[in-house]
Amino acid sequence: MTRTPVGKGLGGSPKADGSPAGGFRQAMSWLHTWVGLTLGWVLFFIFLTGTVGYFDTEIDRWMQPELPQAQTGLNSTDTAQVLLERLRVEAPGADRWFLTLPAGRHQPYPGIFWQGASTKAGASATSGELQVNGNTGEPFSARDTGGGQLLYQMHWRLHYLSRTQADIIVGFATMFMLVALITGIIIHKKIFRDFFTFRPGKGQRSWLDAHNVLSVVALPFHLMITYSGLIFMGFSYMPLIVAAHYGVDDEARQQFISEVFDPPGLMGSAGESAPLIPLDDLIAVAEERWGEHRIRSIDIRHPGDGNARIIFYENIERRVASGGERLIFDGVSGELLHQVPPATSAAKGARDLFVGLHEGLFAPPVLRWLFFFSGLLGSGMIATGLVLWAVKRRQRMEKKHSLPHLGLRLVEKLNVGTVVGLPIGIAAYFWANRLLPVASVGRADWEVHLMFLAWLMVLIHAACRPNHRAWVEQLAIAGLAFGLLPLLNLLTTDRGLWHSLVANDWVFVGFDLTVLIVGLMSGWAAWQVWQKRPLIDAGGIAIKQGRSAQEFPGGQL
Amino acid sequence: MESMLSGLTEWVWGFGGMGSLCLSMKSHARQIGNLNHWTEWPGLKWLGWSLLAFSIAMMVGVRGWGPGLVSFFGMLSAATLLVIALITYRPRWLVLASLACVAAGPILTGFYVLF
Amino acid sequence: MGLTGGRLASLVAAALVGGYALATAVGIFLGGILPMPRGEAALVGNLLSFAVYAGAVIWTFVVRRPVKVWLGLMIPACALVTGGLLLTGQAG
Repeated sequence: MTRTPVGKGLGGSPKADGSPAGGFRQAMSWLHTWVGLTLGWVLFFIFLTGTVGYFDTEIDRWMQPELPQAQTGLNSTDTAQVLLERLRVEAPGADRWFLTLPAGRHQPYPGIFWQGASTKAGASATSGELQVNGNTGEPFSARDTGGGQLLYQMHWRLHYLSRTQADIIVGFATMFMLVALITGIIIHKKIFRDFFTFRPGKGQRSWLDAHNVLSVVALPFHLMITYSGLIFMGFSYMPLIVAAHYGVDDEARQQFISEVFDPPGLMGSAGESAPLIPLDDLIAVAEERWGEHRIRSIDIRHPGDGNARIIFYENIERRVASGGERLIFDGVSGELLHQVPPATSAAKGARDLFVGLHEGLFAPPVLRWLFFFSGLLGSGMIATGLVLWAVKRRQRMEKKHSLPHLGLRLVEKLNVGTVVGLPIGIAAYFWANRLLPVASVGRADWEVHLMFLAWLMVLIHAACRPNHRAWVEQLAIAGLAFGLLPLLNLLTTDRGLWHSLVANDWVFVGFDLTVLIVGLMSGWAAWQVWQKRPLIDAGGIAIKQGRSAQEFPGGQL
Repeated sequence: MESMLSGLTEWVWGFGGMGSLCLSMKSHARQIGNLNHWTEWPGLKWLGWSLLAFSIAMMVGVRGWGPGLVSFFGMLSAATLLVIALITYRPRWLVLASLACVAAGPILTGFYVLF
Repeated sequence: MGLTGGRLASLVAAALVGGYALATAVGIFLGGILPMPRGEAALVGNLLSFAVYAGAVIWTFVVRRPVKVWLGLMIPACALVTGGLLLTGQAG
């Protein structure tokens, strides 16, 4: 959202005494430029993979076409019974059994999860999780994939990095984003007068307009998603605050978590066995209170122990803040010990609100699309900012008839290789899901490897090709890679678009149509860039001076 | 279906509001050529704000404060982007679309309330 | 802007490290003095610390004088940490 006049760069010449040229606004402009650029490509990655994550469950399902349509609406009592049987088989002697009921979009199938089981007693693993067919009680068998979850988790785990490395990079990137947003608001002089202004075909001016429009139109979203992202990971990013009051070891941290977040009434294991009460009556109590099909999950601590506790979680679709009500029962007597409201304190309530807004789990379909759309605007904001940086400098360089410096060339390559390259990588992830043999070893890992390999190849392509060509060619590749996905789906599964339409399978219809539209738009963008070369390359100068791209200094880079 | 209808209704109010606000600005009124006598009415700006206010009221009324406000901002982003696209590339369509939305808002709301 | 070399490096370090220190310090201070259970107070400190961090980064590049910036960030940070830890529990 920089507002310096065309031709006068942010670098502005320093005064002789070394004091900054220009005042407060120019300082903010400088800061905006550099916090935006420095980790801009990381931010683009975070925004885009996070945006895709608003449809994580839908992508999961597309990536496991063997699974049936959602099993929401099954009878809770029967389903819980089925899951409990499965847990007795898979995880005897566990510290914790967790039953997920098919309560809606986020949980289309029943599932189980356990911790601290005893393999000596016959458990299949100490801890694990399974999706279970609610009709048969058998675990589903579907192709091994990271699915939409992995794609979504990348936006804070950066996949190949350790948690610590990823936390540091993502933490700083998010902080930079926050600073960029605040400084951007400060330096945008005419935020209201230019609210609806976009002037196409004017080089740098158009990129600035586009950057402003994408930023301002969804500004509440951008601010919300950035600050809530920081809060989401707040205990990892600012560990010393809790440590100062609790101590630095894991136990101290756990103490803090249990004081603020755990429901009351939980106890350590008693060490003596006692039969777990059947769930039927407890489910009846919970459904009486919340309504049918509104139990999200059942968390059994120390099953079969004298101190067993059973926590019922309410579904989350009715309020923005994450987390619903919880009911805590004695696991032996079945007595209702506590009814815990969603927010146990104002502080936790505030955090839950931010986390809930960030995740958007409450959002019904229309609103979910708006979240997705706002995320795309955020990605576009970052992309146009990055391109603006390069266009501005190339335009200035053209005027001086000088050669582009290394920094500019690097930014230009990274721009095309990331703004178009990352989407191509994501498309490759989907292609790999359908093309890797279902039975092959490590296929889930290879899906991701192929995503990043594809992105790497696109970056190399960007480095080797002239800038303008790189944009056109990569947009065309993206167009094909996304546009042909519905065809690939049709050829490799029996759940093609027509079949999904007839079967009212809106998850598959939605996925196929979305990638088709993305493909068409990429293809259209390729066509546009091919025709209107100066938009990307060097602003309006080429037209004014009647030169072709090949005559640019550096046009053959 | 009900959420689709309420979503559409709110969007129509929002688009009408944003479109009116856009057209009430002198710099954009110039872009619509000989249709601009439509936009010289001084109440246009207030109409725009009122439509937005109604939109937010309806969202909060239908969905509650939290989801209502979130929906409002999301819807507003989408509506504004379309307004900008129209005023840039098809300015005269924006006049028609805004008029249509201003007219359709009450009708859709009536539908929503009745059914 | 005329920011180059050592001066720029010092300012960037002040913004990143000094800003982080101040943000943490404010968090610790709030965790110590807010009249609520210590877990909640620490959580409030955590929620607000990021705003402090952003403010500190921006302030650094408004002032643009390394010595002043470092002192301006670190002295309050030390004072807040000390104050926060000394006052812990007395209000709540």
